[in-house]
Amino acid sequence: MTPEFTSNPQFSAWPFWVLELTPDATGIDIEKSTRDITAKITLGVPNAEFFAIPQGKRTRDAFLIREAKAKLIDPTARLLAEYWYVKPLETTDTESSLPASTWKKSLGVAFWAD
Amino acid sequence: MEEIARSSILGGLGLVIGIIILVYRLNNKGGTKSDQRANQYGYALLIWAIFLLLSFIPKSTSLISIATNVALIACTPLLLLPSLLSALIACFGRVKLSYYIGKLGFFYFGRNPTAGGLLRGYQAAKTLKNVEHQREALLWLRSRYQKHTGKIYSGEMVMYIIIDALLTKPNDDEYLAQRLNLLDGIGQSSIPRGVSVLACKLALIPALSRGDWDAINDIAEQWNTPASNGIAKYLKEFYGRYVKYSHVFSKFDCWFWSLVIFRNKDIMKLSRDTIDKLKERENSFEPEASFIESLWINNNKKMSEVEKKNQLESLLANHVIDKWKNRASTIGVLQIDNAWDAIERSVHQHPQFKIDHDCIEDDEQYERKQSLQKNLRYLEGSIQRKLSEKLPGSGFEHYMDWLKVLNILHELKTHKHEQLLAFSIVHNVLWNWAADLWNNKKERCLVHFIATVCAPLALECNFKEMHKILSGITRGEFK
Repeated sequence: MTPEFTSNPQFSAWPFWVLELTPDATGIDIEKSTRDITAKITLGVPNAEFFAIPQGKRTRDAFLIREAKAKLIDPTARLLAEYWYVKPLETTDTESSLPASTWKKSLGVAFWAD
Repeated sequence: MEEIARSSILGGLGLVIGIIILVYRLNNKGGTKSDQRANQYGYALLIWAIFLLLSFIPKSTSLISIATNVALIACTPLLLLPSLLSALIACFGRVKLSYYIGKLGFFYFGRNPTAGGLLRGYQAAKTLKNVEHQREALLWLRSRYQKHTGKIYSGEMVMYIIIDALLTKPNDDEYLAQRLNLLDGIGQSSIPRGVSVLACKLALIPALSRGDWDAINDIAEQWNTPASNGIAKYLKEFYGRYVKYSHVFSKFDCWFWSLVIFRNKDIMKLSRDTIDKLKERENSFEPEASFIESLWINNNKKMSEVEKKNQLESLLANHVIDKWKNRASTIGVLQIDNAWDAIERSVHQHPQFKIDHDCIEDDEQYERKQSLQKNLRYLEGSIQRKLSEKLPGSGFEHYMDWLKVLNILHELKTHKHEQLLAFSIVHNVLWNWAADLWNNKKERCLVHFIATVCAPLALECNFKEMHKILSGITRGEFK
């Protein structure tokens, strides 16, 4: 889990954002979403590693997805996530923010040669 | 032919000797800033005169002779503009040469020729194809700066942070951005344009990749230096005009600065996407946004005590408690009261409602705080010792000491009470140290930086005299 999510309770809804779900999601929805997103990341689908939060975007990996699923399966943790849930702004548009590596190249400040 | 060869050899020799003398002089400067600059001007003019003279020696009217003369004369602007010459050399990856010639760019880099050298060295290192060579180049640049004995200026402070962060945590954009954020408060007037643009771009990477416009605006504000920084100016105007819908910011200014950075297609695309998204949001605006949503909207706004109380009451009202307890039983929570307690605790831990002395901290946080305070006391002792022994110390050494103190104050920023406590511990030593740097060592730029950071803290701690003097320094009342 990223420190940002633990340091501020406002981010408590992160499991919903990571799995792109809403508080009305059922156990089946959680399973399905976990499977689909993990598969997308494994297959290298463009932008699959990004998810939207109310202020921009963050990156996710298989570990974060597993943690999100575990939180949503636990009723107490899920209740807290539901309480703080806010719809992420960019659920439909995942192409406006580019990854850091692209920005570095675009601004001409990529340093370490590969 | 003999004449041409002779003039070419003499011209080349004059150029090499001139540059060697100039670099030698700059590396061994001991006088004040004006002396140093006079030396630079004098030597640059001397080299130019020699070069110009030598280029006119061949008197033959043959085509080759005229071509040689023209070529030699064409080279003189490069000699007069070493910043341009060093930029050209940097394109070929010649780190040391671009560093030394960059140090001569006193027209372009002003009183920051060393920053200019470091910038050109960095640019040359960037073109290298091998990571190990790049690392060696950065290590060499850092070693050059660590040996620098003159006074320190803002541009040099920035370049040191960039090079050091790249070496300490390569490829960690967040770390580099955090280190650059530490420099909020340095005197901006002496930061050369190239350095300001580079620092701004590096600091922007994490915020741009998150699409976080509040953070983008903060960074643009920090690097909107008097030396024209197009990217910072455009982002600041765009944020003011479109993201915040402020009528203070004109459409024309935003359009004008977009012309300056139009080549950066990704920034232009981000701007267009943001405008589209904001229009969409405006069309689907719900006047009664939930209280949680309003917390996101007012993320960076400081709420008044009344607003805080109202917000808190709304978040923890009786009907809200009932609603969430019902929901808890629906989703199968066994200990409903405990689950609600966890929610209530999380509300109180929200930065908008958290009260420093009431906040619950874990063992790790407590240990970290203790360790920071211990380090601060050690630093205080170290600075005090240097002061009492009247050790001269270079501007760079003083800057290193200040960065350590600043880092601790910055880390304690989230605990305002602890930060003020830490400041009150070191304020006496900081006060004497700043006075020594200002009066004896004439490190005006560094003291300006210290004063900008410490003046608000002194006000909050009620150190009136200290606040008055430090504010005077930041306003330029003392010369």
